[in-house]
Amino acid sequence: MSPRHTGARFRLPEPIAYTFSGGLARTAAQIGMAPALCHAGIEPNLVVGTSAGAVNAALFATDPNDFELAATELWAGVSKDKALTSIRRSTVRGLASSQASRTRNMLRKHLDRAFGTLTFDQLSLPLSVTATALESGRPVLIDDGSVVDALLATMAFPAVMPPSTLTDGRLVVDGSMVADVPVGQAITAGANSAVVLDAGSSVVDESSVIDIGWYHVMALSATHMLRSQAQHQVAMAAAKIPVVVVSIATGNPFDLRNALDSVPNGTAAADRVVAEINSHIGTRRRTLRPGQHGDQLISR
Amino acid sequence: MADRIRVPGPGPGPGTDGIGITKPLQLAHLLPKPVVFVMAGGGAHGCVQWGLLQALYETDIRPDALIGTSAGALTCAVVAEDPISAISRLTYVWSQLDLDVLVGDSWLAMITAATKRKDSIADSAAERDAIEAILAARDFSDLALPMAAVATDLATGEATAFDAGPLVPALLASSAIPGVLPPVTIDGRRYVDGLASANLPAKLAVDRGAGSIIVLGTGSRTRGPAATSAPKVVARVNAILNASQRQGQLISAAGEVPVLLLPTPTNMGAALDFRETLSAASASYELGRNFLFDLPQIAGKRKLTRGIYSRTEDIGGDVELEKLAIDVPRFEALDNRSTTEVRV
Repeated sequence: MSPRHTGARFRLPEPIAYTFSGGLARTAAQIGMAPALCHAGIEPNLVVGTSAGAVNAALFATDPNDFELAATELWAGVSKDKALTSIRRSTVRGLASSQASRTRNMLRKHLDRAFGTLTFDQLSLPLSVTATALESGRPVLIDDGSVVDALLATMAFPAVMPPSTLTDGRLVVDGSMVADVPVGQAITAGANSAVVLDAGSSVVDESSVIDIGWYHVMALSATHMLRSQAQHQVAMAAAKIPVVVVSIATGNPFDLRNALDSVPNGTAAADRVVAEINSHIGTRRRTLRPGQHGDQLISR
Repeated sequence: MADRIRVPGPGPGPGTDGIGITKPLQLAHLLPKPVVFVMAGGGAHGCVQWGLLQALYETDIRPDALIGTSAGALTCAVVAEDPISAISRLTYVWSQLDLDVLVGDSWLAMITAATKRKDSIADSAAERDAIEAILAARDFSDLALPMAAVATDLATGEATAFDAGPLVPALLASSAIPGVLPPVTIDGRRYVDGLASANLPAKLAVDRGAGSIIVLGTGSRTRGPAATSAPKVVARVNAILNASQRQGQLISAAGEVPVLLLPTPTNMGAALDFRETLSAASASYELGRNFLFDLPQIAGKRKLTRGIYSRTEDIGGDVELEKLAIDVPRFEALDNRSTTEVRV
């Protein structure tokens, strides 16, 4: 690693929450972001995650020091799984009622290998993952029981995987529907400041929408919709607590096969944001005030 | 902490003088100008807006400008083309509209298309014909009132408001349901349905200079028993996404100008079910009218100031929202008359 900065000169009020956004393949960038942030001296007291980001959040909460290795291994396994990485095949499976659970079972295999029978109370940091209650349309925070079950619930993307049933009987789907960037949930979980590890920007190259299949139009539009909702949520949370956003705007969220390519982008983004805030606050160490710091979620 | 002004139960019936004769009610003077009507998207649920418009017109509230998404954009265009005859023209439009009019009746072709790498499973020829039959205007400059149609830039996800140039492509873009109808290319960029970025473009209306905002939603069905079949889950999730995106838009807008959130039915059918449009429209008229008659009570007869004006159940009760509550005053009417009576 090159010496980009000598650590963060700013402090955040504790408890600090690392907030892992959703964003499918792009969330692999969080593998680069989290260690870079820790290296700069910004360490979390709790962890919140949504959808694919929740997998990274759970790996981080299991053992922050082993996070980079464990996450790289899990993502490498998923990216080689051909049946799982084709968005079109996953969608077709999800829509065919006889095969609706197959994608979930495939995913479960990968998660079992990483987490086994681990439960939330065995984690070294408090973890909350988000899901969307189908009945009420409200966000649900899952913070106990089996980690693998919780991750399958937060990733139950409609039409790709069937809804999950929580232990209390509620039906839930992917948390990104109501909390793609779960900062509001971080506040609910007790955070006084949040660092958003944001991989979920839905912007793609202009060239990639010229020759595009209908299922990609659907999926891309759905991610745009999640993001427009997330922008409002971050703005509202930032009115209450300091929110540091580290965001990447490159990489294809649907390209699971090359997901790990975005790891260096994540490292670079975290370093850039720390350096930017450092230069913004000048030479004196300071605790950040409520507001959005670092990157802006693209907000229009 | 947000202001809360709760208005206890109703007096005599809505707008009656106590002996059952309806008094005309003039509300236009309460609203800072320019008054912008914001119409959300929602397929067949757009019929709700026709009923709400009737209620607004009866209380003398007329738009100075309009902005809409998807089906809401088409309704905006009908009103903007000729505000005086809008209600009767919308009656005609909604009596004619059904799914076949919008996507054609080529179901077999759609299923074939679904197996191929095309950018949509239906084409927009039928919808284009329908729009061109409904509207005489072909360019935004042909409209009598300023109007914008919101579409989503497919590459960036940016909400884009079209308010000049050819009208029909903008309306097609605004209602290009992703995956179902083809993205529309305008000035070299590709656009899909505005629902993907701003299904209820209230914040956009503020950014464009609205003095007050009248929200004509499309009803909701985010609550209720959950089904597990893939199409039903997708439909429900779509409604949930819409609702959470809508909440953000409303709060952002209400921080700056008064936002009148007209009530809408919560028991709507499927967004592409056009069979119940007439009854949904009349139910909305009733809801809208009751709410507007309560408005002087909520507003205190002075010009409205920034904040959300709504019935409690239309915005309130969200725990997450309470936690995040930023500086947005909320003025609520306990409008649900039957509930209030039960309490008494």
